[in-house]
Amino acid sequence: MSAPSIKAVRVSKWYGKVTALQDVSLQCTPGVWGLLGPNGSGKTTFMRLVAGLLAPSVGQVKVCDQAPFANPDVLRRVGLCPEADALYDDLSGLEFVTAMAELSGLPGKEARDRAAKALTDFGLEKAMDRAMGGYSRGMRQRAKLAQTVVHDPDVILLDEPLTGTDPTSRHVILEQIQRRADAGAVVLFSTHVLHEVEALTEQVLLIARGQLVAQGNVHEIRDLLSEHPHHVRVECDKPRELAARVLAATPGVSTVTFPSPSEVEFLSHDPDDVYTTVAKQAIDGGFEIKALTSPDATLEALFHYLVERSAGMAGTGADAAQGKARGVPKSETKKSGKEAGA
Amino acid sequence: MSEKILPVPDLATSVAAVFRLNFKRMLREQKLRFALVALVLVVGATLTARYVVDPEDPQLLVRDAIRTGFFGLLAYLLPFLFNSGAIAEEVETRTLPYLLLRPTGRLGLTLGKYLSGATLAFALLAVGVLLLHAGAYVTEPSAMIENIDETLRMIGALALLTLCYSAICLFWGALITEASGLMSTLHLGAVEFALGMMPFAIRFVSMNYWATQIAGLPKGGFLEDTVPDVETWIAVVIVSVVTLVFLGGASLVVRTSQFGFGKA
Repeated sequence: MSAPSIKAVRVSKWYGKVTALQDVSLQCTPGVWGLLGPNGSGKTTFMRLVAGLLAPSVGQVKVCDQAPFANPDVLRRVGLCPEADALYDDLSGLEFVTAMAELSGLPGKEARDRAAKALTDFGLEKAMDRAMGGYSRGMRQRAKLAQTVVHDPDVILLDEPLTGTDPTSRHVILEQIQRRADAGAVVLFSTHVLHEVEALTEQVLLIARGQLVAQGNVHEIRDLLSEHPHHVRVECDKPRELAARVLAATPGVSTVTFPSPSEVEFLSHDPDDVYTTVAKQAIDGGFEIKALTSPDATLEALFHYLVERSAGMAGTGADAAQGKARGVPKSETKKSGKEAGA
Repeated sequence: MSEKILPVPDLATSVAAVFRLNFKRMLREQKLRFALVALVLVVGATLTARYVVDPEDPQLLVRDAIRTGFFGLLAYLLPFLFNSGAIAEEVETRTLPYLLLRPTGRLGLTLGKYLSGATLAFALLAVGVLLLHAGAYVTEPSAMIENIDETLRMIGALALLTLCYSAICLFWGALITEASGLMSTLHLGAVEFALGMMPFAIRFVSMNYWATQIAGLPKGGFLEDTVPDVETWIAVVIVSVVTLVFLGGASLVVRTSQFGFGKA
């Protein structure tokens, strides 16, 4: 029996003329892996490739050393929690998870017992006999997770599993994910919210515009978020005067633009300094500030920054497969035994 | 990590698991209520005609009712209801990954879906025909027993036709998930119904025509005298082969599909 693993070698996937994934190489060993990326970045496509729902256009995907597409030998070891809020609403939670267990090859009685245990693990013991159409969003998410793990898979794929969940559900879900990873499963956890990953793991893979732009420690990602230049946009009554005063007070500002007659935008490596100066000017200088926004204080901006940055670098998927991470230079020297190349 | 990896279930286990899940769902859907209403209307209308109009020949009335109400309406409607959306609705409601991600395999999925839909459709048709038979002859017990052979033959032909139409609807539903109902309707309406009424050998493309011949019913349609006679066993073989072709086609589509299914 091969050890649980996910491996992608120079994988690309196209939907007609649309490129969903481009030259992605990575390897995941047992433990929790955060797959971070903005909406539309290719996370779900990658999950579907690993789950065997899609075949790669180019390259190889291996799960437990076998190609997963429509391969029952692999599928018995994989569990996927899809992103879509889709369930058989006319079935009860117990009927649904029992059916999924039976489809995984468990005999009737054992399937029912395992389904009841999985639902109990996810806090649905009191609701398991009710039709799922009446479940709240958090309960539906937990029912999806129960079907994901009912057959005790070695590779667990969770596509945005915390979407729409309340704090109590999140706690239960994160605890169960961690427990299964501790037992030796590979857990690939996709999200576009950094702090969701931080609660579970330090191993992250960043994907943007279909490319794996970085991999590394979650703290390095945090550092990058604060290091990369930020845009700060201010809408006010006298943008040019405000620009002059901010430029004089904040040396970190590298560029000033005027997107509209009532707006000024600063590009700075120290956005906090710009915020402070603008606030001070609003009070002392009598400026009427109508809006203060930072369009890129998000992971999405970081992803775009990394894509642009990596475009000029020599790294390719093949490089990544050999452990040469792109985008997060520190990760080249911080690879642990659990981490493999991306 | 699991201490013991589950074995890949064999085809029979896979089909049975998908069958149970699909059957349970169909029993709770509105489609079943719709099918029951249609069945009650056909049987009720026939029995009303039998006792209110009081025909001289109940055997003829039963035969006409089965030809028109069952071969001409319910044999189209029920397989359509239970099979045309079997795959397509899973894609539409985005639940298909739950099934494709299991080691049952895509062949098990296809056969389980097909058999559950066809079984329910046939069970309703058979119950309807038997009720019609019993109701029509309730005042003449001896005729009820004498004519049961003919009714059972019609049920056999309906079984074959139901299996065939279920395969056709499943195929179109798997191939064009966005328009499963439309494609099934076009096929059943144009090829099966319209061409099945045509003169000469044109109607040989219609499985409905072959099934009525297996049932021992008159040819009917336009210029029925121009249609060549064919032996019953040949009709059985033709309907069976067409059924297997469409079922094989549906299995192939499900086994190889990515894009429509991957979006589910």
